[in-house]
Parts: sequence; structure tokens; C-alpha cells
Amino acid sequence: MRCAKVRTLLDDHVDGLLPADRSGAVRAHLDSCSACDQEFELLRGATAPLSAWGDLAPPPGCFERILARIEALPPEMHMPAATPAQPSLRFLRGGARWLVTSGAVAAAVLVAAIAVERAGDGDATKSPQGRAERPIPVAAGVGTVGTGTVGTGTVGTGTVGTGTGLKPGEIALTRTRFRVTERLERRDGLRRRRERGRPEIPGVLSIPVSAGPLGAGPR
Amino acid sequence: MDLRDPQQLRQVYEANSKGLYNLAYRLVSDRQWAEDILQETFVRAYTRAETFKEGGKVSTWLYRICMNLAYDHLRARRYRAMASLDAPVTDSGDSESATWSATLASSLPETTAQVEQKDTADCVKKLIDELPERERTVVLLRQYHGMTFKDIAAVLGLTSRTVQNCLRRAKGKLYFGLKEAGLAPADIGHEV
Repeated sequence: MRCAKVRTLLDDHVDGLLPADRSGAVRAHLDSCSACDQEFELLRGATAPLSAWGDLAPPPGCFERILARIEALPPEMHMPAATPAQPSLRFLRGGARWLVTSGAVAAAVLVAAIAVERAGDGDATKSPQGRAERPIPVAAGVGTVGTGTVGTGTVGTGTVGTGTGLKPGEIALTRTRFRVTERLERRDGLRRRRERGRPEIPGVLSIPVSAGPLGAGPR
Repeated sequence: MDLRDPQQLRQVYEANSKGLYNLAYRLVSDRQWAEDILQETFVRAYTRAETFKEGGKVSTWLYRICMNLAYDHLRARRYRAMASLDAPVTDSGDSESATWSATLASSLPETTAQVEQKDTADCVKKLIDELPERERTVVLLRQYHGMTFKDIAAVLGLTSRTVQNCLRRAKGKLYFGLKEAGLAPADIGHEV
């Protein structure tokens, strides 16, 4: 047995917690290694006197006093805590939690951008050519994202991108919103995935959490 | 395990009360406070029974509650000591000092010569009290409660390796303190 291994076992050896065979192996090593033996003696020297500080028994009647304190609690303390109405994201790991949060933020940004664009776009709506050039997502899909359902599995069922030639879970973006796409891609590592051969769809933002259950999307 | 059931609560009390009481006593050095902490531990276990994770060790959970309560108490006591160093000591415990300033003075390093009395238990108690919070807890849980490194790690929220390193450091300090008090063999001279 090597010194490094023996030193990890010394505490258990001193406290008598090692099984007989391992304890024998440690003892054999200590007989042949003065450095480890010195450390063992130090640990033993520090451990033996500690037993002088003996245990105390809990005071009698303590449990009855605990019961009395419990009985004196207000009624609501006797009820099990109610399950929170909204599920917490605490069970998600950091990356998955970030995806859900960033998905919601991206949805909010999209809704705001579309609202601004529609407000100042009166003439474009009258021109059929102008509308055909621009890959604006369907309003229903955007509305679904913006109402906070990102991350619950409903986005990606075909409502977003339907009819625009996009895959479920993808939202078409105009040029003005492309910066958001790039930032999200950079932070999510989607750029790397695209370089591995995924066909590039210009101006398309893929929301990773939308295609499956929570946290199943790519990091 | 349903701690809201008085029968089960009693069973858990019977199995753990001694260990919890001694842990609290060794941390706060006061019997009355130790009993209060023991009571509060079980009241909290009752009121927050739903936070206990099924499959975990109930003893580990209780030790964690107890330890946190004890440290809350120590911090509050330290705060009160800071607020009024010359106020009379109100604890009904085992302290022999009459004021907080005297209490603090008695724990200063230059008076550790007083530790050189042959009362081993007092010496051990003082040396353990001088350890940093985490090392003290590790030593107590290991030496007086026979916990494995894994269990201690679960109580303290650390890794087993960190707990082992912590214990090794604490033992090194204890050894040299005990050696100074003439309670440990003096022929081992190297640092851990």
C-alpha cells in the first residue's frame, strides 16, 4: 500500500473504523514507513484525550416539554406546508434554468419588437410585395411564446412557424431582430452546433427549450 | 417517516436526543441553552417535516438543524457580547466569568497557560472551543458522534475530502495544544 493511500485511511484506522484486512495492511505499512507512522502517532495523540470529555444525558422531561411547545403552536403550523402554485425552477441545473429564463426574455423581446414594427408600418401592410419579402412569424405563434409558455413544452408543437417553412420551435426573425439571435446563439453554443452541419436558415432563432421537456434542449 | 406523528417523533427523539443534546452542549457550553436548542430542533423538525427528503437519514437532517441553531445562538451571543462587553453575563451556564469582557479575556491566547491544568476534559473542551467553527463541528461529529466522513459531509454540505482535510488540520492543532498541556506524547514534532 502506498503512502498516499495509507494517509487517507489513517483517520479511520485511528478511530478503529477500518475492516480487519485493511487495518492489517495499514499496520504493515506503518511498520515500514516512519513518516506515515509519525503522522499516525500524531493523530492518535490528538484523539485519545478527547474521550475524556464525556457525554451528558438530556434532561428528564425534555420530550414532554417539546410536545407542549408543539401543542402551543398556532393551528397553521400544524398543517403541512401548501404546495406552491407555480413550480419552482430551483430543481433545474444552472444551464437549463438559464435556458428557460432566456427563452422567456427572448419571447418578450420578440413581442415588443413586433409591436413596435407593426405600429410604424402602416404603408407596408398595404403593399403585397412588401409583405411577401419579409419573414414575419405568425402572430399566434408569437403570442404563445410571449404568454410565458416557453419551457412548458407547448412551444414547438407546430404553432410557431407553421406555414413559414420553419421547424417546430423556430421563430422567423426580421433583420432588425437578428442581433438578438446572434447573441443567444453565441451564449447557447448553437453556433458550434450549426458549424457541425446543421443547415443554416438566415434570420431564424431556434429556442432550445421548445422542442422537448424542460431542460432537454441543448446547452 | 412522518414526524408529525407523535409516536414516530418520540422514536426519533429516543434515537437522537442524546447525540443532539451533547452536540448542542459542546457547541454552546451551556446546559440550559443546549436543552433549548434540543427542543427547538424537534419543534422545527415537526413544523418543517415536509422539507425532509424521503430516503435521507433523519439523524443527518436533525444534526444539521441542531448545528445551525447552535451557531445562530453563538452568533447572537457574540453580538450581545460586542454590544455590551461589561454587562453581566446572563447565561445560567458553566461560565465562571462575571462579565463578557472577563469571558473574552479568559479566552485570549496569552492565558492559555491556564489550560495547563491536569483536568483533561477542561483542557480538551477549551482546545476544541478555540478551533474555527467548521473544524470544531467536524471534530465533534467525528469524535463524539462517530459519524463517517460521508455523513459529516451531508450535515455540513461539504465533500468528504474537505471534511477529512478539515479533521486532519483540527487534529494537528489539538495535538500541539495537548502537547503544550502535557496531555499528548511530546516526541512527535512535525506539522500535519
